[in-house]
Amino acid sequence: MLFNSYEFIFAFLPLTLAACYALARFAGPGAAQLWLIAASLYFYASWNLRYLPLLLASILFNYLIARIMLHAPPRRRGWLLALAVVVDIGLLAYYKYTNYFIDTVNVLSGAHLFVAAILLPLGISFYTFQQITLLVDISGGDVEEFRLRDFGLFVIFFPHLIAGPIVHHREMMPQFARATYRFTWPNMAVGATLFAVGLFKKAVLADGIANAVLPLYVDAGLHHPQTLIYAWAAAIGFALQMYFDFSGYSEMALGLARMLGIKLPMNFNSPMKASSIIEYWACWHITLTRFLTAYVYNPIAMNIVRWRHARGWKRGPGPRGTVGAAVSMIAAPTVMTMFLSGLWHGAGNQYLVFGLLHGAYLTINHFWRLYRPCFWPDTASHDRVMRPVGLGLTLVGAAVALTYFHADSVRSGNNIIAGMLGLHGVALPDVIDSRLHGLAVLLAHAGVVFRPLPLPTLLTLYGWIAVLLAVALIPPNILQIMYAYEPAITMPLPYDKDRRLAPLRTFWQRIHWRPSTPWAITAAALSACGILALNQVTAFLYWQF
Amino acid sequence: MDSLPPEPAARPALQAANSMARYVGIWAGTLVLMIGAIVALNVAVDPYAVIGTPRIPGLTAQKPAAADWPRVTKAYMVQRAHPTTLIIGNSSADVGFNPESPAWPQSARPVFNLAIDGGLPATHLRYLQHALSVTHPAHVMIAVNFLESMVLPSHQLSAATQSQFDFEPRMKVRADGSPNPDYARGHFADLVFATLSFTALSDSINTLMHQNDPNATYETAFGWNDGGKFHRWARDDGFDNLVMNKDRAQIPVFLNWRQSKIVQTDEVAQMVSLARRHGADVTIMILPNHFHEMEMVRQLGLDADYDAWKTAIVKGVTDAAPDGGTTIWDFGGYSPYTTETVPGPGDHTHRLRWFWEPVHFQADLGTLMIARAQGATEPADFGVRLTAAGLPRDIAAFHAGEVAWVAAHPAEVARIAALLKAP
Repeated sequence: MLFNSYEFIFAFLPLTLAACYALARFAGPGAAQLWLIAASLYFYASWNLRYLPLLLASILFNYLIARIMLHAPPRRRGWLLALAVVVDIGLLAYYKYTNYFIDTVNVLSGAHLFVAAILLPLGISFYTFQQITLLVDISGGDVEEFRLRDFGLFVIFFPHLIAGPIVHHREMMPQFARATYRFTWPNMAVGATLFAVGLFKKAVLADGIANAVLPLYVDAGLHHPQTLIYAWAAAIGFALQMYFDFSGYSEMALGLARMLGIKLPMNFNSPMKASSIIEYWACWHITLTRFLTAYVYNPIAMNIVRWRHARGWKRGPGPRGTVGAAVSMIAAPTVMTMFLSGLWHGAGNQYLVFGLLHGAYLTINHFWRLYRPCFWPDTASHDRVMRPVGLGLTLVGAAVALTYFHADSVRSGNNIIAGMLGLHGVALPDVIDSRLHGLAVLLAHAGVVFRPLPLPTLLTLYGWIAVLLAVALIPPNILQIMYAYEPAITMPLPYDKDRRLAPLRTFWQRIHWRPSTPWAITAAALSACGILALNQVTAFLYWQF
Repeated sequence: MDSLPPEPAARPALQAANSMARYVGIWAGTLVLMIGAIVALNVAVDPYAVIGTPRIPGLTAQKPAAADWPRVTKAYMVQRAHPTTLIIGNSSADVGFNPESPAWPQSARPVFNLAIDGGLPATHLRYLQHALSVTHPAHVMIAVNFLESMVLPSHQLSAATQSQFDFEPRMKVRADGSPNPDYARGHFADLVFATLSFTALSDSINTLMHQNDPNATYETAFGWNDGGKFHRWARDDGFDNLVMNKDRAQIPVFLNWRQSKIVQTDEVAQMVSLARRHGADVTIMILPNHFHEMEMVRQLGLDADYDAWKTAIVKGVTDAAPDGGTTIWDFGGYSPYTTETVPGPGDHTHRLRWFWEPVHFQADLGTLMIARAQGATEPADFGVRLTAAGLPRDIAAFHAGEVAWVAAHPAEVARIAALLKAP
């Protein structure tokens, strides 16, 4: 059951909310919480009942380990943590990577090992990592007592169960313990508005451009050479599709949780406006970035620092440091973290390329920040030039990496990238040749070839790209627009502090959401558009992680 | 006793709650109104003819969107049509056979065109099963051609072709003839799509704005696609462009098929058998192709395969209906109707009279074919009634016509050869 489906919007959600509010009012928050757990299990089981026992076993196992760890001496906690991580990661590896591993062995060794295709349980990557974070923090002594039902809801709360945001126990379990789960008008108003905006972004914008972009990736997958104009449309178009799809999903999740009186963390903060790849990752899938930073990057970096110190290598990176320090303390942990990020995103070489490309981008960006003052000391002039240049570079860099993310193989991804580089020439629909022959002659002289390609398809594709780029680059995001009503736990910068809104700040400062008639009509229009777009129901791109 | 007014400190919170309540009320009310209005409009216009709302001349009678969704529209239209004659086939039959053609005798009317654009023989069989479960036609006309019988590897099929079987939930019966348990769900999904979707809203507006538009393509109440898009393409781009584009699209299909050379003719025999069991007479129409298509077949060395396909069709039909009640008409030979010269590149003045491009023929030619099948003796040089016994003679006549045409048209032969050699 998808958030963007009739059964969710017209049956599951109203029933779940109504029963929760009624139970909270007449039987207390405990009963409402148990109801939400049951509803979340039903939500999960509606996808595939077969994997419900796995989810329940994972929750019970991790809860038991957590309970034992809470009362165990520190040394024993370490062993218990290791045991839990091995079991959790082992399960994840089995379901997510067995087929990939066998395929890789077969390709490399020429063997013919066979294992039946293993279906990936929905949301396993998310609930596995959320539980590991809790255990890691218990091991560090950062967690106090908690109840099974708070823990259970923390893991399976349906708004974030399948595709995040990746929540942290510190921000969720206290909320679950405190929440009344009763109906309030402010929560309903804010939640419904967030859900409407998210639904519009997913069902209208993301699915709209998806129809235009998908055929290009199918064609690339058939190894038909992708020509320049179409390859760029494929790359930029999918980057926009991905952004509106996933940020739309995240805002729907925020809205759903808010209707129940729970706030989730912000997951997107207008990443397309980023003028560097570091800034991009601070704004894109924010909850994954903070998870990777806290639980992967920092431990790796700390261990490298300790390792260097143990050898007496005390100079750090930067103009006064050493290249070795820069490589080992910045490049190594960055590339390793993004490699793991790629692997987490999917079992396929194309995901590794996606991760490694981002590792390379981030390393270059970090080095630029470190060494740029040596050859470009004027920060003001640097910012003036590099902000617009960086915006373009970041968009293209992210689009290139996402091309591999969406391609069915590295070869298909290479096909599109080669097209972007012009290695497969330039092709245009032949109707241009038949209708604008003079222009076509000029273009032909420039090496353009004319093929029986439909012109309206090309115009639709670039039309979508133009509209979505404008929406992604110009206005503030919905969390900024609703800033005064705290739609999320972590929040973006308000208008007056977000330099990216500077060109039109005076105008945007007049656009604040409030419970007024114009905003209610706007939200209703967005909801209506979202509902009308549901007939082309498509899964969220982050559904299978 | 009246409740006490709230404490002054609680008033801002109460005001905020009130404004939020008002906001939610306006939001929900506006949403219901918007959705209600859109559903009402879509029901009234019924852009895909799924609901069966009466057509209002000049307002909703002509349905351009229905032509884009034949698998949806025809599944429901045929249930309301109660046809005496049912036409089965692919896009050529969809565009070429007008159920309101004057060639249909009164005894054959009403005629419903159930041909499915892009359909394979298996698709046509399923739609015939569906139709016969809800209607009782006295005549079934099945249009067949060589191209649609070719079985291609699945990865070479277009996405549209691969989605051939998406229609299953809207079939009244399953392939084994038993009631389809998914029908109610499929019908509900189609109703939701036809009333509560952006696509339907846009198509309703389009329907209202494009009545009697010469640039639009319409599906009539009898299931005929009037070929409006071909009119438009021919006018804007010229017939040469239309023909050459189709030729280029056909070449990879032939080349791919040449590797396997598997044809499917079983479904045609099954359709004949099914129609006969339901008491309907059957007419098989072997569709005509323009000489561009036939010359490609010849130059690619597929002549013998074409003959074998035709032989298999005749044998399959004869075996499926041993008690008679079937007629086979072959319009696939060389005749003045299939050998028109294509106007030159950039020529937007001259037009082909009988074909749109090498595969799709115009409704005027369809009318001649219907007339011949209904017993007209003219035009005598177009169409042959096939029997198992006469088949060798017919095949020989086809090849004699082919040899004569090739000898008389070296420039056309060279043009096709160049096209086949192009990268």
